[in-house]
Amino acid sequence: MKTTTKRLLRRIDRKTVQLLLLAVVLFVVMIILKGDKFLRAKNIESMLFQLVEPGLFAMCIGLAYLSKGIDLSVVTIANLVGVVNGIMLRTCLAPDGSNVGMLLALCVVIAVGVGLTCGIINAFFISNIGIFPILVTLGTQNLFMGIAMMLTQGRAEGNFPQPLMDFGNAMVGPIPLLTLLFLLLYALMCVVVHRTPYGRKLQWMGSNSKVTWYTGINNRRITYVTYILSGLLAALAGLVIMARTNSAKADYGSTYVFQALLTCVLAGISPLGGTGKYYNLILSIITIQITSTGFNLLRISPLIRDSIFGILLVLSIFIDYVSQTQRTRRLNRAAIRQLQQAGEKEAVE
Amino acid sequence: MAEHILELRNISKAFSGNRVLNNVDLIIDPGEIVCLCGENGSGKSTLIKIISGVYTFDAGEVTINGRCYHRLSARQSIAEGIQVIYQDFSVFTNLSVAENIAMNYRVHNKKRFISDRFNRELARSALAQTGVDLPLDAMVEQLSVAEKQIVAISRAICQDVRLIIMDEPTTAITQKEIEKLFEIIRGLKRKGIAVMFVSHKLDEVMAICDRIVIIRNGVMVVDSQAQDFPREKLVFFMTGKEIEEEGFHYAGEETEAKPLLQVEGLSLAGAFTDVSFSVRPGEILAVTGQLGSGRTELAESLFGLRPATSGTIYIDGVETPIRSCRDALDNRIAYLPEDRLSEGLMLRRSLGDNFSSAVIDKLTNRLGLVSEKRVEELSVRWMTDLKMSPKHYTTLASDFSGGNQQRIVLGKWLASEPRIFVLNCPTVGVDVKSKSEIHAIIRDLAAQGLAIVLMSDDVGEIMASSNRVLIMQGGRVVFENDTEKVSESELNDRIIGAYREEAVK
Repeated sequence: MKTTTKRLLRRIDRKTVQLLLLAVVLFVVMIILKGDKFLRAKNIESMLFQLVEPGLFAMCIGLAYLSKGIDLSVVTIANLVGVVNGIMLRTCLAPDGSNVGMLLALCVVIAVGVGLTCGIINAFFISNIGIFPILVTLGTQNLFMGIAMMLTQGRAEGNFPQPLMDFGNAMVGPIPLLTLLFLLLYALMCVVVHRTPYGRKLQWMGSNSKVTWYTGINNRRITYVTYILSGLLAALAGLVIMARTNSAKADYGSTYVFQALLTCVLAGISPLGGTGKYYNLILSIITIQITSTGFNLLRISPLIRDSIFGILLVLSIFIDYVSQTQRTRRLNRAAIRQLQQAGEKEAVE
Repeated sequence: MAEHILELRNISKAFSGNRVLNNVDLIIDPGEIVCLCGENGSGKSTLIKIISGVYTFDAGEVTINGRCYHRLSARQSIAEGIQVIYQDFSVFTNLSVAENIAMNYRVHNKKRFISDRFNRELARSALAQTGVDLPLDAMVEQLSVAEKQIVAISRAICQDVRLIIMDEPTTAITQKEIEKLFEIIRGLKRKGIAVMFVSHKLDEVMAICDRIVIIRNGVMVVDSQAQDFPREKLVFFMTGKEIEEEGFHYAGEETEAKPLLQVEGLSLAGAFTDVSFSVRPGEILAVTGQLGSGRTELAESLFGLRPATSGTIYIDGVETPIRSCRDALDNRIAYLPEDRLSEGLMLRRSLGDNFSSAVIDKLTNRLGLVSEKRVEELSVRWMTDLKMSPKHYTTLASDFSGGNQQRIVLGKWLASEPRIFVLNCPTVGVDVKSKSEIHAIIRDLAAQGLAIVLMSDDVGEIMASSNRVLIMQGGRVVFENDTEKVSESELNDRIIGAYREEAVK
């Protein structure tokens, strides 16, 4: 009995417990401070709505992080999808709206195409040319935004057909349909990362790409799959933004990248690669959402909010780094102590 | 008595739970020439890096010029007059000779502005001390290897240097240049500068050293005056064959089995040329040669990491091009890389991850998902087969000792059920007991009918665990024979290129 509990406890990740505690504490704090407003059904509903976009971006960056890379271009991929679809809808929609079904299907096709292309471009420069992911995706971030800017001349696209709006605002019982779909997709990605051979190889490559190379694992293919998946998820976020906000703009949601980085680091997915559990991401997404809604309810200026997020990011990376170096130092000391004890034993004998 | 320049006491150092140095004591006096010997992975480079302040040590203390340090930074080490000349000399190839020589002085004396005249004066006086004339304005990239070395030495002596450490200074230069180098070193000695010389080449060592220090598996095993040192024992002290092993006998001699792996005229531009050999099932072919002989490249080429540019590979008599790792894996070739810690093992991942990494695509259930149960079964099986102390399969690889870590890498490949196994220095940095156990595993694999190619530096290992030996030099095979027909000392001399036919007569 005792051993089974122990075994079960060992299987539970420490980070999961920490995040769960953090989320609960924040939740309780919000109830104490602004309980009346915070617990209102409308507020909960809007929180569920809001977490979809940053959640998708965090899923993208989490994947890249696991491979010891980063994908800064995700938000601009989403905007590019929105803008291209917006222009397509504006020009092709029949005045009587008869072809709307076909055009919405076309939207999905365009999203997949754009996501795929952008992912391949990122992976090509990272893997085939060998440039640092942070430089590549910083560059493509501006490239994709530039294209979207050129297409729209900086204006917002909007007034999308009603069926898209209906889809974006649909509810399944008390839960928004989009949130439900997001959770399903997230669960699927958890399985991909944790249970498929690709997911294992992704984590191994992030932890030591030289070893995977010497093991005959195709690092290039892993890199391509990772950035393509990231691009596709980002493109999906583009569709979500269209459906939810009824607009598309080349420079929408510029703070999302940062928020996604923070979400991943908070979830323990280290930018140093290979470590961290993808399934913790959802707890971290919820935590960030509570904080961000909390700031709104407490009327804390968004300007201050950004700098608090910034401090949080640096702090979590710092804690991550310190705990890692501490661990190796402890290991080294233990090894030497063990050896010295063995030496003493020999001397006695 | 003059005070010691350097005094190490009980220095220990570990990397991610693996000890590399264990209670090392070393004293160096002014004007002494000390030679540091040891196999690859014995801890000698770690020792150098501790003296130069690049690595921190975990236990013990360092006393330099009478000052005691419990933590030593590179800056402090240089300020105390310790200079290291690494194998690649660490020169700036895009700067001139004068700029290179003056660089360290300028950095260390916080010269904020560059004065060309000052650089040239400093360089001229430093070069004068070495007695070599080099054009001050020449770009360093245009110099020969030996000249680059002179630049590095001059750079070291233009500061107030008391101890110069040279890592393998003679590997890449000619005999004449070596004599010139020794002359410079003797000149330094007369000025009271101590030199620590890291080398394998016995003849040279004996010609110049006052003292010999040998390090093995992180422990100092010999510290002796050069004239008292029994030179025929060097190899013994370096490899430390305390445990006598059974020799390896190839059983298939009479059966005339067909070669499992046959290589003909294999070449890889810039690495090796026209290499031919064949290995029958049950055979262990040892391939040896010095650093830069091309044997690691050959191994990596057999595994498809660096596909050969010409030549043919036959497997079971069928011509089989190996253009990628995929090809190698499909033909059931496994490769154990040279550096376990950086190339073979994922230290921060679990035992199960490491064991399953080469075969993960096969450990899936009907849905194509990785079966955790099968990963565990696989880990348990190889832990038992390789006689490791049982641990849970989620234990991190970094929690194991060097010998067990090497077993994990072995197990990872054995899980892929190879027919041809290329092992590159499988026992480097492994303790003596694990070493002989790993040898037993390798011999056992051969007995099961695998064809084994064993790359090794360790003459004792080759004698004990191979039936044929191949020596490479400069990318070519220069010698091949049955292991039984060669003596250990002949093999040794042949590897360092010092074997002379007359010596036999």
